[in-house]
Amino acid sequence: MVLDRDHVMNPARMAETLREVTLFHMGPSLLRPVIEHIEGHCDDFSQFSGVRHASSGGDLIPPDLLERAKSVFPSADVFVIYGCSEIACMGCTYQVPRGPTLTKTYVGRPFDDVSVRVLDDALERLPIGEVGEICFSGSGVVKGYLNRPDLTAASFVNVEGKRFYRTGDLGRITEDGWLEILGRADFQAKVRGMRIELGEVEHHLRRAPNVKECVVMARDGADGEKVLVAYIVLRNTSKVRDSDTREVNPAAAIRRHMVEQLPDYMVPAIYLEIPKLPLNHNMKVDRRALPSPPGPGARPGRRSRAPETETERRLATLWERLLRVEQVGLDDNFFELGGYSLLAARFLAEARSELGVELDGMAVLREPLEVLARICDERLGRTGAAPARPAREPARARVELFHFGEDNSLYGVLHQPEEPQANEAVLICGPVGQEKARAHFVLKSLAKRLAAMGVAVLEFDYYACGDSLGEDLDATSTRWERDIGSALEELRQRTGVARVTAVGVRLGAPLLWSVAHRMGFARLVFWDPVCSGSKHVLAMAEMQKDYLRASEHFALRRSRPRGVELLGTTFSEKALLELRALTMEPALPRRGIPIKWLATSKAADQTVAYERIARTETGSRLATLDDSCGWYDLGRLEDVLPDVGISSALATLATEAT
Amino acid sequence: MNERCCEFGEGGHLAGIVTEPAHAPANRGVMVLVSAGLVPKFGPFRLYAELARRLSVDGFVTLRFDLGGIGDSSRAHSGLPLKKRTEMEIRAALDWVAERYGARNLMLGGLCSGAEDSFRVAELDTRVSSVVMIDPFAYRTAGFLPRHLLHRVVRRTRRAVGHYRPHPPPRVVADRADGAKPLVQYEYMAREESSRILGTLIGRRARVHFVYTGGAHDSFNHEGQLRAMFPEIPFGDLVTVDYLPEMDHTQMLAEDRERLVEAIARRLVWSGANLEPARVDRASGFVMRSSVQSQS
Repeated sequence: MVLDRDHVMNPARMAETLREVTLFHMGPSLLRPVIEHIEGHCDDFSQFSGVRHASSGGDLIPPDLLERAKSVFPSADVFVIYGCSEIACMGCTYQVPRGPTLTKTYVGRPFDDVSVRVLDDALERLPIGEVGEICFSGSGVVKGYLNRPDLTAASFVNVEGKRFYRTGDLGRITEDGWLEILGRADFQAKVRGMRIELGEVEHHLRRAPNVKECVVMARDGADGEKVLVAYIVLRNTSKVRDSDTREVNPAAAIRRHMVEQLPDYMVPAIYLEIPKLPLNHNMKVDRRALPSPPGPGARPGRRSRAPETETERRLATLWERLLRVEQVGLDDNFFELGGYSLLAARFLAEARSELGVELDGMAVLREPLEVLARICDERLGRTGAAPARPAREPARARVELFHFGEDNSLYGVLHQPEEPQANEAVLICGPVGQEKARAHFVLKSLAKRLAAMGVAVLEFDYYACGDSLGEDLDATSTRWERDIGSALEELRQRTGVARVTAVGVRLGAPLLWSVAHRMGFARLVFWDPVCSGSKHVLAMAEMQKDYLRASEHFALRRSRPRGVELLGTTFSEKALLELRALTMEPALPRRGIPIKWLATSKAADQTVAYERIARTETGSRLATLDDSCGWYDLGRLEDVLPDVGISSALATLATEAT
Repeated sequence: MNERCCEFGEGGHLAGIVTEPAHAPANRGVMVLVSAGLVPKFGPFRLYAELARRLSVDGFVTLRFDLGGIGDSSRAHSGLPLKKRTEMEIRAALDWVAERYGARNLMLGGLCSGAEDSFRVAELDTRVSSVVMIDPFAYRTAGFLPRHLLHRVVRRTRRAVGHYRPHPPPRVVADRADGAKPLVQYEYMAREESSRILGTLIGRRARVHFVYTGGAHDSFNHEGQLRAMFPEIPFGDLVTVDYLPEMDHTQMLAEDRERLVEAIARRLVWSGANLEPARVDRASGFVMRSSVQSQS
């Protein structure tokens, strides 16, 4: 059956046609309005039971669309077909299982005579679970682009003696051998220094109230900086009710939904309502035809006082350029805006060349912009240029410090919300050793952020770590697991809250994993978990060895340590054995506890562990941020991690609805 | 030893932990440890926690605390310059301990920026009778370069005969790759300022103890260099130095931390026995030579 364009573009006519066919294939942009029409106009989907085969492809197919296709075509085998013109359209296929709910965009396995590889930037094959560019070879691969030798050379490469076509799609191969597609490499955007998957933003935007269709793009704002722009087709343009049942403008409700669902840096700054999404002749969304945004939006959630003097404005401009943020204000602090030491060094150099001022690094990391400007003015001899103005102090949550647990040996900090808004609390099971010192700023930001949202938070140090009592030689992971139990009890006693979410960070994650099944947590959130204790110990031992080699100029001979020293912590043999045995294998019964996972560093074992857990635990979700933590980078061992969106992402994971 | 949490400063925005001797009600003095850089109050690799606990054995009380915005302390007085804020916060810590333990033998100490912050406030607050500084300001002197060159010759000779095969420190490699000046190159306070403060402290008979580690080797490479740095100031028996070249700036190795903590504890025991301006034993107090120095 070959249909003309007008017929295809009319969902009602297409629905009529589908009553008569047994097999169809259509792109997701076309399939969605057809399914929506059927869902809106047909009570009985059995009239489509003649369809035996339904396939879609040609564009990224959201899992929800495939689920709806399963429902609308109850007798059909639903397939995803993944390919492109350069490989004769047929790359991989995936039969969507009828049973479990699909949450990921799998495209399956390659057709016969097609090979697929996931390659890194150096065209090296990546291990299972690692994200890279999807490339195809096989007899269907075309010779090249007519009269475009440059494009041909860039798109077709030789790997392992075969000619491969680089699709530009990002994906990974799961442990089961399925190819999972994660989006276009060119659909990734970097905004304010953060890498953002536009598809993930669109995924949440589609679930916002009154949103029918949407596209999110990173576009140049009026000042040349990238901003996220959401293009939205609304179901109706009248006012809607938000979750608090107030009547609000659709854009306000959508923005609020996005702020609740996503970290700040992923929330679009500009929302443009359009009557319909433009499609190209292949019926795919034509992103180039979308209108340009009118101008940059405000940074969500930030209301710092605006710079007034010349020096303040110049410093703010410098920060905005270096930190890729908008609207830097007088109360902003370089470190809190995501600056780190090397960026600060660049700022020092630029301040020297542009303003002729020598600033010291510690001041840059800790002073608000207003004070830095005043220091500049003083050093330039411009006394009185910046009159003192009342600063707005950051809101101070109620913080209680105390010792608790066995022999009162554990140090805890409880962040109490001024106005508890939820019968929920969060327990932070942080890292161990030097990683705690590195992560403390982010974890403090997380606690403050959650407290501001009405959630009580307990941070604590394990026995012989941080400010807790004890000597590291006496510590074991068994003891640290008991500490988690003590902390949970303390949190429940102090807040009266029964429903507790636990956040496990680095080694805190497998410790939490070992005991979670008997503690009744409502939700588990992991940030860069150490999935294999043995690999972690091995990596730390390598770093220790490197450190000792590099520090030979201090002392040629060292005495034999009493235990095994790893990056500032001395472990007993027993502790080390226990540490090596820690794992995040999903062996223990934990069903029913949703698991959220934030990855900010690449580690193959993390991905594999996540895949395993995601298969067995419902409601699990993986979020990723730029690879920025460098946990196993000896050169950064003493660097405190800046909060480049990590606490925001963790707070979202810890509080989002499951 | 007993430890408990405390909050002080305006609205209790500063968080600290006080460590008291278990069985010594007659305390010998109170040490306030000022947080270093962005590291929380337990110190780099828990140095501050270990030092506080060791000092309690000798009968000293120690308060270690986070400066505003660091660790568990909140930021306050944002409109003020960092130096002024830091001064106010250290003074708040001194007020807190003086109120509870008396103002007898109040000491300030810290590592790196914590050392210099302590030094500055010690000048302004006459209650402070001693300052202990780990890797504070250092200035090259005439003797520095010959010693530095000699050290390099020795190392190269060792390398040539196969006794020494160092790897480049990872941080140096990382910084070179980026091509930027690392922020960890802490900028010392100007010599004029340190000279003035040192003169003021000695003038009121406060003790000043310097500890230099191998981490300061680019600026300091001999215990005698301290005196050469300030030839205009008569140290008397009030200024002491321990030079520990075998350890790095943040003492990642347990043996380095133990040695450093022990060295400081010994100094304080001597000072605690003899201190207070009117009670200085000039004959035996704060001599330059110590067992720690002879080990290095």
